[in-house]
Amino acid sequence: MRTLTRLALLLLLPSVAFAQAAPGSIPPVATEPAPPGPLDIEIGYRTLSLKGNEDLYRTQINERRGIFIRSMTILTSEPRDISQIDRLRIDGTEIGPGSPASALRLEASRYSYYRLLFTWRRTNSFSALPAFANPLLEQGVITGQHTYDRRRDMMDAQLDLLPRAKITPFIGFGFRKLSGPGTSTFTTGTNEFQLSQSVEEREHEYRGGAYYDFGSVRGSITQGWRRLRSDQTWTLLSRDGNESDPVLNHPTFATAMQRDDHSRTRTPFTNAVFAAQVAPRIRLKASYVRYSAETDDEGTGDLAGSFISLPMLRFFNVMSERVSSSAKKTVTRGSGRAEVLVHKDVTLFAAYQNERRDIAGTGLLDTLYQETLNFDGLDKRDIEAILRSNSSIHRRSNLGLAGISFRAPGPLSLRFEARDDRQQLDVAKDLAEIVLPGNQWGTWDRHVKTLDGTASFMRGNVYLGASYRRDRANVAVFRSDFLDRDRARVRASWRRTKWFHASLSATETRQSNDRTDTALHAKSRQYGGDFEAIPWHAISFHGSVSRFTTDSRILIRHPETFITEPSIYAGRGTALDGGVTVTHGLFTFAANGGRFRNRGENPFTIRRATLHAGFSFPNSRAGMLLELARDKYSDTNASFSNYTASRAGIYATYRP
Amino acid sequence: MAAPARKREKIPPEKLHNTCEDCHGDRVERFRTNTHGFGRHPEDGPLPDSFCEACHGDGRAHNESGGEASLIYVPYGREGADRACLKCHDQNSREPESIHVPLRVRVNQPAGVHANSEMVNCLTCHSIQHEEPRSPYLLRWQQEKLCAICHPAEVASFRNQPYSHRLGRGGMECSSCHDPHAGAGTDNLRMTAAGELPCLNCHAEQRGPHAFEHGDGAENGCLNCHDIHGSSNPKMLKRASVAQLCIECHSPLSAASFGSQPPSFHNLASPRFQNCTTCHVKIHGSDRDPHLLE
Repeated sequence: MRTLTRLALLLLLPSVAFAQAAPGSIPPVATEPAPPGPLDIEIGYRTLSLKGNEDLYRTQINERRGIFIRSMTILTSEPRDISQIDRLRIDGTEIGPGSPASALRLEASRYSYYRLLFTWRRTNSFSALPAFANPLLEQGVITGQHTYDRRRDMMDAQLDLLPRAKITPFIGFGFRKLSGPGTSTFTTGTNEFQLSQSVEEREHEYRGGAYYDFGSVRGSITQGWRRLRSDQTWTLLSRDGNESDPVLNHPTFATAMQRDDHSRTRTPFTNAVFAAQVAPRIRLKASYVRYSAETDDEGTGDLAGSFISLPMLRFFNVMSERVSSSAKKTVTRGSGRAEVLVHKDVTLFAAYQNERRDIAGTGLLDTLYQETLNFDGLDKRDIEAILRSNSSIHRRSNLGLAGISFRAPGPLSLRFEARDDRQQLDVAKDLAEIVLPGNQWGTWDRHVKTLDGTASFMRGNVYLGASYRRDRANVAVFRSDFLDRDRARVRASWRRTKWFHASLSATETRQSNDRTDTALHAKSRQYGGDFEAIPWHAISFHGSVSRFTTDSRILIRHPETFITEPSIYAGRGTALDGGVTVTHGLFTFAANGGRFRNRGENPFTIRRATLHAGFSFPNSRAGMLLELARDKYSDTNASFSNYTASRAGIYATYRP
Repeated sequence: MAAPARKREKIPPEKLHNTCEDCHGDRVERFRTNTHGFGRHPEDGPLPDSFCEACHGDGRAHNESGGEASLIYVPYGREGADRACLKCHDQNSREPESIHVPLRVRVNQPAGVHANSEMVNCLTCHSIQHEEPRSPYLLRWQQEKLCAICHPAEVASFRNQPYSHRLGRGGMECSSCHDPHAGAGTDNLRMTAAGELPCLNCHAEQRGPHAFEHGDGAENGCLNCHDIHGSSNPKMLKRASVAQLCIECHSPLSAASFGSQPPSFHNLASPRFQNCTTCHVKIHGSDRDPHLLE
């Protein structure tokens, strides 16, 4: 009740806005949307005012100042058989330097001749978490290792020829690029040194194939080739490592370091899908996927300074390393599925899937240690160490399932499915990989049986739905694997004509492994409710409250003391959201906001608010839109992480 | 059951409309740019009534009554999806109209968790004439609002959690990873063209193969360590502390599980050893080092 009261109060405060709707668009209102037109665009400029930790803001949100296209749709049609493009649609979102993520989609076609689909996405990935992977934090060093500022570009184009013919050939091309600076770590002996890292990875994908449609037999076949080039270089960022104390009265430091790594991966893949209506009530589906990826890697490393090697029990001053490795992964998956329509509303289905996954790798590491001394400072010599190591993982999986789907002509729908999944895992022993004996190789045969059911009831304005899934396994491969898992969901919603809608939902998942050496017990719950009220066609309110709890407990052993104790993790999140939207004549106004508080581990509070005000010029398709957004992050344990980010954007709009 | 027809004044034959477009010009106009218009342009001539009747059924009675609403079929709910949408979009439809529908936009709707039912049917998510203008898929609303109707917790997690993928606003959509029309398979995942987890559609650099794979990643994929719908923990990890995440698997208290014991110098009480990835930088797999150190 207290929560509901708070929510009601929040809704009464027009200045408090919640983040229910995406800032990228005016929130939907209870009016009929305008039909798509030749041009729908929002373009403008966003400012940013940031107080507090910029690194964390950029890691979590990263919206910046600058000009950008917030949204864009271009839609045209031309007379058939006159233009080479009789239909063109371009959709763009957040394109420009002011946004951390951009997307563009282009679809062009000429009826019966071709269809071209092009997509492009760019994300700016920034991560500089103050406390993450930063052992020097307590010494006041804020910048963490594993910081990066990278750009990821992804594009894909596919051209379908004769899209309405019995056979539709297609060709496709994909390109992905990840590049930018970062930091990393090099570990040697008893110390870790921070490195600056430069990454450039490019992947090209070429594919071709055809869709086929011969009446009762349909499907597609695709043959593709992928090629990944990865080039990385590292240089020394700081002379001092994480360990400032001398070891055996011997200081460790680095004076120079240069490493580079080049890998090439080639991956041919085949993908085939087949569907057939073998009888009026029987459908068959089959699919086959195979890919075989091969990686060759070459790398060098040169290090100078003063170091310790524990395996050699020696000090050394110079190290040169040459690495050559290769790996191969082959995955083959075949599946078949039959569906029998025993009645118009009752479908029986059964499926089988077999998967084979084989990974094998080999590495040759040639390391030359120069100017080494034993721990007495004697016996100066150069030592070359050659290490050859191999790894392999073989996995076989056989999945069978059967079920029934019942769709009554009335309000009730039921669906039930039983699955039986047998997984065999075989990991080879490799002495080079083993530090302490045990648990690094072996054979596991895991058998998971699943029951999965869904029921929904819908009559008039009321909907009730429930689902339950139960998994039982005989063994756990990893300690975090469950032996027993149960998941239940319920949902109810009620709609009062067009002016009110409310729903409640709850999900609980429990998983456990009762073996005395594991004692895994995990439970997560999510429940919440939301409503939307439209008391008048020009105004709508919405709000939601949700809460999640996570509790996990598993037995662990501390490596330094061999003490066994439970590892306990708890999450306690509560979210409140709400807002109001008003449309009147040429004006649109929306205020949204929310607060998310986590009281579990890593406690924090986030408060978010957005305000939109739109105006359309009379007798014109043009308008203006003002948007204010504010995010306040408060970390309970690490106040140096806190930030408050305020953005203001003004956009010109043109609507069809 | 359809409501009984209201009594209307009979319209003289000379005033009867001849085509759907005569009365519903605004709606027909939508099909100039609607994907169901197949690129039809005004210069291609008026839309034939058969175009509208493909979904709305025979319109003669409606026309002759002068527009009586009860005499024209309006697709709604599961039955509407069966009669109007799946006539062409069902993967195995043999209706003559289905020839206009390329195979790639056909679905196997009796199967899967989104099987055509009163609760979830084509018209729950799609609208032929009242679509969200910025959606290229004739969706009723933006994806994140649409999916949140039935999956509120998942969508809220993206919105609320500080570490999450950017949803909408130039970032991902639900359909970047999930195929709502998938007939079978866990969580309706949209696999890559080579049949891999959808994470690898963007994170191509994590595909490998590596000479030395992290066993967990090779066996269970990304989801054992990451909460991909959003997390309270950095890097969308399932635990607030990296060491806690790792040690829960790397505590071999018996020979039954896969996961090695860290050597005893890994003093978890020391900050140096509380973030395992400080040293094990290649945690997703390494081409150099069996211990994923470089």
